[in-house]
Amino acid sequence: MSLFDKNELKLTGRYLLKNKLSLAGGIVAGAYLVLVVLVWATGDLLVPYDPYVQNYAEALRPPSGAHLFGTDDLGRDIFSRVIAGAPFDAQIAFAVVLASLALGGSVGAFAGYLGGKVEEAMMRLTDIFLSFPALVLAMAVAIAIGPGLTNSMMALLVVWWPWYARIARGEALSIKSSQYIEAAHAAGLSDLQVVARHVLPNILMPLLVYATLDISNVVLTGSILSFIGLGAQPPQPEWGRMVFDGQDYLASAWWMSVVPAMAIFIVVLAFSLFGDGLRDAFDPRLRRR
Amino acid sequence: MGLLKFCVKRLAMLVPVLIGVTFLTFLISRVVVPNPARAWAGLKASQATVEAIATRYRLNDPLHIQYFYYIRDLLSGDWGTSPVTGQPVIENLSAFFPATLELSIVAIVIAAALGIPLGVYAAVKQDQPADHAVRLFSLGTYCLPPFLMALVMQLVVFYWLRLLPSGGRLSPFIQAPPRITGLLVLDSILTGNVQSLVSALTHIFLPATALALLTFGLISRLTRSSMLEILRQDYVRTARAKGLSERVVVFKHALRNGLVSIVTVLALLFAWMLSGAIVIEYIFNWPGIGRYAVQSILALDLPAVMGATLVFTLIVVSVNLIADIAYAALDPRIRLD
Amino acid sequence: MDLTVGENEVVGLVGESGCGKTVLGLSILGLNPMPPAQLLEGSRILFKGRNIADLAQNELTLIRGTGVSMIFQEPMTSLNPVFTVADQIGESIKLRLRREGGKEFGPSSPATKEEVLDALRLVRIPDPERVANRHPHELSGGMKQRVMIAMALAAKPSLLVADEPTTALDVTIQSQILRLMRTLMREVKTSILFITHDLGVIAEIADRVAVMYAGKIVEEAKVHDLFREPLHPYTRGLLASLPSISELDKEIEQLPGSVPDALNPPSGCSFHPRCRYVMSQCSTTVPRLIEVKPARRVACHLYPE
Repeated sequence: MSLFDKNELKLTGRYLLKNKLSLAGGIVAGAYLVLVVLVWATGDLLVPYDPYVQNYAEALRPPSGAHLFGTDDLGRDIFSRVIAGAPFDAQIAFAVVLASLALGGSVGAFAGYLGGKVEEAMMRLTDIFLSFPALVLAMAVAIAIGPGLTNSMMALLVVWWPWYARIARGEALSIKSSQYIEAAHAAGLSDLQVVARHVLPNILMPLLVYATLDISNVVLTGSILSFIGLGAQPPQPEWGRMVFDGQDYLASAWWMSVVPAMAIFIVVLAFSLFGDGLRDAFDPRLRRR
Repeated sequence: MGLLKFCVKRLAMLVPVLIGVTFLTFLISRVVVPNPARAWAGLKASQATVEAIATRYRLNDPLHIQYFYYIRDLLSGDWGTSPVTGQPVIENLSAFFPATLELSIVAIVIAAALGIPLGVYAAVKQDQPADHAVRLFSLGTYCLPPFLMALVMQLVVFYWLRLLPSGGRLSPFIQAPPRITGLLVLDSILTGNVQSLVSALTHIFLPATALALLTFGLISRLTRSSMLEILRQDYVRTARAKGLSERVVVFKHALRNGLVSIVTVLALLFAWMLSGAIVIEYIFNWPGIGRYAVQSILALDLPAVMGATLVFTLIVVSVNLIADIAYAALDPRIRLD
Repeated sequence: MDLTVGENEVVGLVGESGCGKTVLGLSILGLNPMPPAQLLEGSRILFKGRNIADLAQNELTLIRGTGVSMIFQEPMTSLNPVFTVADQIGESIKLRLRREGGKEFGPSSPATKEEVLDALRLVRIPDPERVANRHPHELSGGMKQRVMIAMALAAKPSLLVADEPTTALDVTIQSQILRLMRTLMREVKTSILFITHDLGVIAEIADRVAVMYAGKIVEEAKVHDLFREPLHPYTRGLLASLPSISELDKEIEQLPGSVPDALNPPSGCSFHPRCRYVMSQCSTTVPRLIEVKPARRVACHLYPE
């Protein structure tokens, strides 16, 4: 199934529309992305209060008209901080997924296409990476290279690439014996060219579907990394970190932790629902007219 | 081939995986870290201590020599000394291990007890409202960030309703039973100590349920799709044609075939659950390896974190091994290799 | 649709693929998934005089196994892979004992084991002790089908519906199984409704035969009579298209056209587009199945009432 087959896209779109939950998820996910772009582009213009300025007089206020989600222990408006912090998780998720797709996808496609020892070696290598629980490996790498936003992205990339390698390999295997691949080979193209020009474009679709589903997983794991202090550092209003900071005040000011945690949950759920619907839409067995 | 031969073969496959895993942790702790000697000695250590560490662990030798000694140290029980606690890492780990084990076991039992029947129910009622409800609930709990679940539970059940304790394994006023297995619930039962049994149960309930809720969604989803596949099979039709009741058909003939994939799922789940356990243990102050890992990270204690990483991974690898063997035991077709 | 199977007889139901014979077989036991399938108003399935067409699933369950049983075409996939042969046959035995109100032995008691071995001996399986402990995937196709027959007969049903049981097997195994079923019929006194597309199989095993076309029965007769003197044009066409060893030079006649779409059959007699004796009324009126001679019924306008 080629990437831009108009009929395929139309069928998929129609199926997607019928599945209301997925649609809802897609809308919320889309809204989140729009928000992210706006915040990233306009900076602090969107928020009612400055996310960084401390104001002890207003500390630990419950949600009210003035402060929609209350204030934290340093008097900062949580609503503003949640909005300002939206881009962080999106940044991590998209960067990690795209990089894993590129890196893992290429390695996997190559290995699947070449077969033999190369494929065997790649499988053993991914086996080892996949033996580690995702969070655990990410933690280990993150603490080794130090905390920080970019570093957490790299740690997550180390953990994430093997999944894409595996999928790409599987897909490459199934199209390896297709006629156009054989034709390209017969025409004298080198292995690298065959993979780059013929294999990769054709396995892109299933990889993308998986990637969309995966975004929610990365956001989840990334937020946990931030929660334990390995992601963006304070005073940056990253959501996971905000949850951590609010723990000590759970009894007196629960909104400090619960609000950013809910924000993470909503984003993860939205992307999950949408990705689920997308995957079902591409599954030939489930498609109905 | 028989089950025994399969086990032996499978164990043999374990060795290269272990080598790979230890090599990766070795790389992370010696190569990826910018200044391994200082990281292992501790940030506040003196220059002399740093150099002593460098010599002791041969940090200036070529990599392959370092790796040899790394493995030797691992096998002999020297997993480094935590610059924060001052104790050998392995002692900390073995002290905290039973707590994590207990928590995981209880959580997985709850998750399976909840997830499998729900999955079967959803499969039998395919595409009806009940099915959709179960699927949504499963997806929803899977997406829940562990800290949200844990914090809300603590908030509601402890702070607001004052129903269950909020942390620790045992009430501080109750004496712990003598340590037989390290699993408090089991030890309490074995020594007939009702007071500590009750206390242990009330303390484990909240964190185990939180952990179970995080993971049961996966079980229920996969049980459902596996059952859907199986209920379409010819042998299910034969079972009905034989005159067996629908209940027997679903729970004996169909589910028994589904158990194979469910067991695989439980193994996969374990890895996911351990990741969740890290956060849950920390929030509920459960003295397990997860909490130890978080505290070590917050304290930038590299040897401790690497130790915890290795333990977690070894647990996952072992569980996968057990799952593979169970898989072969349940499905006689697998043994023909 | 009007078909009767009497006690102690083998009735063959023959027709091409897609004519609905499997659907008929499954409907008797209520095994057709009911949302797509539907029973027409007023239709009756009489089992020992009782109409079972309207029964709910849990009531139908009581008929299955000990009243009416069924064996299927694909022995490969029709046996549960995770249970042994002994387990699966044992289930049928215990079911029968429970319904007869007899003593139900434990799962591995010697009495049940002995009955399982008897069932396997009945279908002439060599070395029954060894086979009993095997799992289905360890057996050959022919063995699996024998096990299926043993399992179905262990419940001592009054009627056995056999849906193309030999189609998936080699020709040599096929004749073995047919011979076995003929012998069993005499020993066990179970009637068989044998569904197949192969006239040769019918000749070997059936007492009476009904020919089915596009979802309707078009002719019914004793086997010998049908082969000697086929009445319906479709039956004639089928028989003429069989290659014959005694007439090696004879050209094989082919029925023109192809099987009609079951959801959109031709008007009147469904066979009329392919019939060489077609008359004007054939395209307007559906011929009824009428008895033209004792024990012979045809649905064709060539044989008016």
